[in-house]
Amino acid sequence: MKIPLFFLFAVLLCAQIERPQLGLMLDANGAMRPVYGAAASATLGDPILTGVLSFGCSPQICLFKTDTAIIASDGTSATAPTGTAIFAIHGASAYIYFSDTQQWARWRDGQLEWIDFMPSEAVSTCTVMLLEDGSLTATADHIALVRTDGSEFDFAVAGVQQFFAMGSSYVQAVTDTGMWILRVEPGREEIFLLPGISQ
Amino acid sequence: MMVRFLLLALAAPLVLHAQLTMLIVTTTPAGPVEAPAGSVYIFAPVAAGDSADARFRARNISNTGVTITALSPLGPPLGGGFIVQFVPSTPYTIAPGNFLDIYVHFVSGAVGPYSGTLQVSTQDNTWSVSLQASVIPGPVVTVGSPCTGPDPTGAISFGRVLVSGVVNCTLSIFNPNPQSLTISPIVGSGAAFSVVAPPSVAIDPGQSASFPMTFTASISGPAGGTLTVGTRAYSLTGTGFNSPLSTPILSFDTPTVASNEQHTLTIRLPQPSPVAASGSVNLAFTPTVTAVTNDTAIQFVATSKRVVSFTVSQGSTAVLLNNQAGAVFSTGTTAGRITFTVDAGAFGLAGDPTTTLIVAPLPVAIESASATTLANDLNITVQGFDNTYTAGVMSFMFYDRHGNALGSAIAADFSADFLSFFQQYPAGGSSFLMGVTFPVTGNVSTIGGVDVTLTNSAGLAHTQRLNFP
Repeated sequence: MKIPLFFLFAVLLCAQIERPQLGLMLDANGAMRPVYGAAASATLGDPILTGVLSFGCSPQICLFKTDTAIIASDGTSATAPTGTAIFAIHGASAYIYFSDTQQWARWRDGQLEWIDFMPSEAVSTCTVMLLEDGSLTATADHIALVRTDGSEFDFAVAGVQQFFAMGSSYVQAVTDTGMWILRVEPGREEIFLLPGISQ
Repeated sequence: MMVRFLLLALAAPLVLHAQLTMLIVTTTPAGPVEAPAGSVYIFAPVAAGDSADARFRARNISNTGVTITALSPLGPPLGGGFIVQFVPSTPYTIAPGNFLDIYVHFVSGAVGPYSGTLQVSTQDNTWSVSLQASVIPGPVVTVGSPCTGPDPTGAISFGRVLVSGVVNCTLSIFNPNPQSLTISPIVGSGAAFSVVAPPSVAIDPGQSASFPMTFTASISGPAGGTLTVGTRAYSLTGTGFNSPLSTPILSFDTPTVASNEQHTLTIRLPQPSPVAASGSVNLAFTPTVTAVTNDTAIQFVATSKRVVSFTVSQGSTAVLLNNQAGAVFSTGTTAGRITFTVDAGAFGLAGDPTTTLIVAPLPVAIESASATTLANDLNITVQGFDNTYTAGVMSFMFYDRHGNALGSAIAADFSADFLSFFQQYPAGGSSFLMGVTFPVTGNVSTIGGVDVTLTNSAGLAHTQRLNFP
């Protein structure tokens, strides 16, 4: 095969090699920890934030709910209602539901924008997470991953109470007995236990 | 070895310029006890080959710091003598109300008397105490099988025996000295132990005397006692256990394992447990690669530990691991051997259930890969792991937008980069995220894709065709 003259490689640059970070997890003590390695052989880094009740990450930003605030990984923060929160995060913005006070807000540009929405009856939430191309739903004895193309995957993990988006390809599932890491990348769907810390 | 000492308080408590008070500290069951130190300290007789220790304490009773400028003797005591141990380098300042412990260690030499002087100097004064010790002929104490010891700490073990069982062994006392040796007392203490010996025995040079010793396991669990042979004291240990558990059967959810997997260990007993029992299951990892000595990801995952507790009910064959039916462990990203052992402690096991799983070397495992362009650069990213820690050699085969190969594959060797990376995290596993950039002269948009081949000691690994956007 003749190599086109305009296609000339210069000298290769050195390879940049680093530890792969799968995302962040919330440990049993309320500390955020980076998760390194491979999903079935993950190792945890030191805590980067403590006192966290829930969180959500996109490739662009992570939002952390502490008892009284929303803290973003870009350094911004805002006072927030007490208790946990559920994040639907996309890019650098997110919709947030404060379940204790049943308030809705949008996170944009480092600020909470309150949404004037109060259902006539109390909102009943179940453990669901929306993905870019589908959704995760927890039932009593399994997790269902359903994609918009109709494909479905079941994972036999019982008692999931919360989902947290760890980053672009992984979701943390929290049960009474363990923390799980669920890979949601199409074609690589699998679930493993995360290392436990002082449970 | 415990050595009793005698303290002669020949003078009132020594006080240096009303700044330091010197004390002697003895250890009692209730804790350390201080007493005024005299000007002479006499060690109890020390058998040849033994040693003895004394603990002095310089307490600052002033309102200002006191600086210790020198301590002696610092030794080493050639041929036997005294040495100050475990003290800081001088000058050393003791804060008001605080103290410094000064340990004097006596090393025995030839039989005879020894003397020395402990000196503690401050800016203003020097405090001295005369040290005296005598080395007496000492015996050589041994025990016969099945007992073991005495070890360097003076421990003699009777091992393990079924409850209500008895372990008999022989205590032998040999006189290696040129003169006759009288040993007194020879006595054992501890409810489970007995030594049958006269109050005193004379042993001729080069001769031995032997006495029976017995451990009776009346209850399950460890028992302790003391054997006193003249000036020496030895600890006696023995463990009673109930009928041992039948050899546990360790099972896994798969017959073979590979790197970066999680599997479940379950354990059952072939026969019902005679008692409610508990213990631990230990996981150990030995790499078969030379680049690392460990992989911390290989552990019981839920607890992040390499040990998990087990319990089994009386009459049951089901063994619970951390109160669960099974325990999940990770195989990590390093080739090697994962070994499981069961420790039933005092309950005992009828056999050794140690089980080893082999994690074989593999070609580089590619978890994900992508290709992008940025200006005139082609960027290729590969995430994966190399359980052999030998990655680095690779090749890149580029294709045009029609899928035609562009020349031959470009070879590269990043072995040094990988080795350096792995050395940064010597027990962190072999997962890596690699980025390689190719600067291109010409129209980068004509390049449609690339195949990457990575080589390690176990073989080749290929990406799927990575397409440039």
